[in-house]
Amino acid sequence: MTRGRQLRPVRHPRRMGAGVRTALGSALVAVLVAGCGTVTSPLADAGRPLPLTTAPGTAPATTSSPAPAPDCGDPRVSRRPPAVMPAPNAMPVGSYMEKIADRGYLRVGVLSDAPPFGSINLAAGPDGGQFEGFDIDIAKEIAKAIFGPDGADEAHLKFRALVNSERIPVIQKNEADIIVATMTTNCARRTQVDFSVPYYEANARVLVLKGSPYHGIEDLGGKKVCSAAGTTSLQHVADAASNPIPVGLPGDGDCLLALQNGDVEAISTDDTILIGMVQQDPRTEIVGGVLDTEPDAVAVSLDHPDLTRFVNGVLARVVASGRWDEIAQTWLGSVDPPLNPPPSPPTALYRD
Amino acid sequence: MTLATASPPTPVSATDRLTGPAREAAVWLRARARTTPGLLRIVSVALVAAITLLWAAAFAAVLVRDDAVHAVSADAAPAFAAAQRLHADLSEADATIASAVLAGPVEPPEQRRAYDESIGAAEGELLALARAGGSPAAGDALDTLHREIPAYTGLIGQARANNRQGNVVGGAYLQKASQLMQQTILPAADSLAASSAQQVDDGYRRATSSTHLVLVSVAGVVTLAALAGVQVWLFRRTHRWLNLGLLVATACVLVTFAVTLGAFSAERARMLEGRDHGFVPMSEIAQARVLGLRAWGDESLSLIARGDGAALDADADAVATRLGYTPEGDPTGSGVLPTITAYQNGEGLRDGDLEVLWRGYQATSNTVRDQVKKPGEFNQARDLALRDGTTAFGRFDDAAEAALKASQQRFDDRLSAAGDRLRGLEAVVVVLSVLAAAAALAGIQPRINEYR
Repeated sequence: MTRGRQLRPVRHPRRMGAGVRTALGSALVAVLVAGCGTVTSPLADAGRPLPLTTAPGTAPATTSSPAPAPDCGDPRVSRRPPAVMPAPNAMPVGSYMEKIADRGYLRVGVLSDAPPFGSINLAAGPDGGQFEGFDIDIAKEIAKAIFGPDGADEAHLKFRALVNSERIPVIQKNEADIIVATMTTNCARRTQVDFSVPYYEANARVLVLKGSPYHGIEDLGGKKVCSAAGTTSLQHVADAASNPIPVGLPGDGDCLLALQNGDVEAISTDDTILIGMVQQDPRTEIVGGVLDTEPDAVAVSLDHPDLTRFVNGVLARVVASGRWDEIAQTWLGSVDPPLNPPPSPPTALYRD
Repeated sequence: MTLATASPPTPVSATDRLTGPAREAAVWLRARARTTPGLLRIVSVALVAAITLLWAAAFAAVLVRDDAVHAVSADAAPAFAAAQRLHADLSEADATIASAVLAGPVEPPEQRRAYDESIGAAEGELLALARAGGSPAAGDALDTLHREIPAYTGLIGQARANNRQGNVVGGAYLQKASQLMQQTILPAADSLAASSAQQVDDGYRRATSSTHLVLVSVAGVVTLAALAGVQVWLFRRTHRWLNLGLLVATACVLVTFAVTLGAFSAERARMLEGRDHGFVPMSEIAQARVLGLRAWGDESLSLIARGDGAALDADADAVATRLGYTPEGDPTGSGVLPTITAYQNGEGLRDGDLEVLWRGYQATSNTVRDQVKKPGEFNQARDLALRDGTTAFGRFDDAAEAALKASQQRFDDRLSAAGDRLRGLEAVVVVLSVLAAAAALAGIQPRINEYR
């Protein structure tokens, strides 16, 4: 066509100039490119899913091999209480108890999923949402010793719920004054926190499903046995002669779930915790002998030896006054099957 | 065109190198071309062939595009929307039940209902998606969803039963269920959405392919050139200026060419609008919504875990960062929500500012988190989360859902407008092509008749 036009220029008086044609041509090309390209529709970046961050609740599955514990002698031995216990609201000047009194409340780290020692009352009513249990009552006695009879109310006693592995860091970071959380005193932990004398001596035992062929830790060789991560119980499982496979989950509740789901064959921890599990699931039972004695003590910062002494004084008074037996009766008196041997206050041993 | 006069055969012509049927055809053609009427017949056949070529290119392109637009609007886009709704419903169920369990042993009836509705809606979406079928990847995801959603509801059932009896193990069940949701079920829903998004992308590529334009343009230019050439040639041979038949044929071809390209361009423009004003914001708003739900669920679970919330809090912080906020709640200037706001401002949408609503929720959530860490303030934190937190999140969620519906509507509208631009185009192309062919033949036939 173009050639034809060029051959007969005379017949096309309105012939376009070469420049105009080039311009029109490039405009046409531009329109074609801009208006005709294939349209893609990939998912926009902002429309893509966000990958999960660290999966919640997946704590280390097994224990790491423990550093050899320094020998501190008998870990139950603690600091001697003051000769004369200070009266409530009259804490010694300069003591850490005075700081607590000035602050107006005591901060206590407790467990929230370990009935009958530490749990949150889920029932409706005035007690709903309140912490309760053996540990909680011990903490209340300590608060009353600082603030007087109303020391156990919400204004003077503030609980911080913990998982087992948080117990030492919370004390070290000073997020709580004391930890009352079925925490076993031992030499390894004593290098990190200070402990009171034991307020309860639990027996580590084994929980299995009723009708299972296991009658104790000795039957569980090569089987998965659960304990809360960061507990001495998990270490006992790892150390057992029958070589069970220790499985550490964040909380005691997670272990019960794993047992109910068939993910583990047994749970090993303090009998007191196991009793709470039997209450939650009557298809489980406690079997076998005592793996170890677990002296539970109040953890205090190494920086506040005066507070450790004070707590020991409170504990001595709680035992002497018979309050200990009342607390034990409240939380452990009606358990079925009854504890064997029945609970009794541990003997207090002081090192100075 | 230079074959205008029948010239004697050259000693060695191209035809001599041909063999077999091709050679016979060439010989036949050359024999025909020696006479003017024979040549005219060949020319008329060539013109009809060129018009047919244009028709074939335009018709095929229209069919492919129409089919692709339909595939996007009828299959891929609804499947994408359904996968996003499935994700949102499942996230909503997970966050709602966590909040309900947090409220205490007796779940608030409206939250229990909301959970049941969300699960019911999710099962409905799943059924619809399964019926729609899809790619093998989508099949795997559907299998996962069919298997794991009942496992999830089973764990939730155990969590609720334990919670009702005051058994603290209920919290462990709830967290395990939520892990199943976040780690297995929601990623499967994500991969369903991704597979539908891939189908949308494929449909877009086919519906706007530049290959169609090239084919139609080449066919159109060839046809127009042939028509123009024949007219020039006839003018030289016959010195008649006008050949009405060929002029009509040229006009028909021009109109076919122009109408097809015009329709393609208009359709492409609608598709482009549908992408930029529908699909893209839709995917972003859907993402903002499920991210928000995830943060809300994290908050409830963190409260239920009472102390064991560090990983959940970290996840909620990651969500906030993705949405465009620091963990403290300050805007970072980039993220999903600023992108959505830019889009909404561009559209002139003023109501339901997601950024403001999110900041309202995040501020409450951060207060709750601070309170939980303070000894003794757990119950206040929980009450604040259940009251102000739930209200603030509800506002964000409602606004996100409304914005999602609006963008989905816009996407549907543009897709249907794109389909309209192609509607009836096949018929127009067929009619014009038949007309053009008939007119071309009618234009040449009188010249052939002159030799009888």
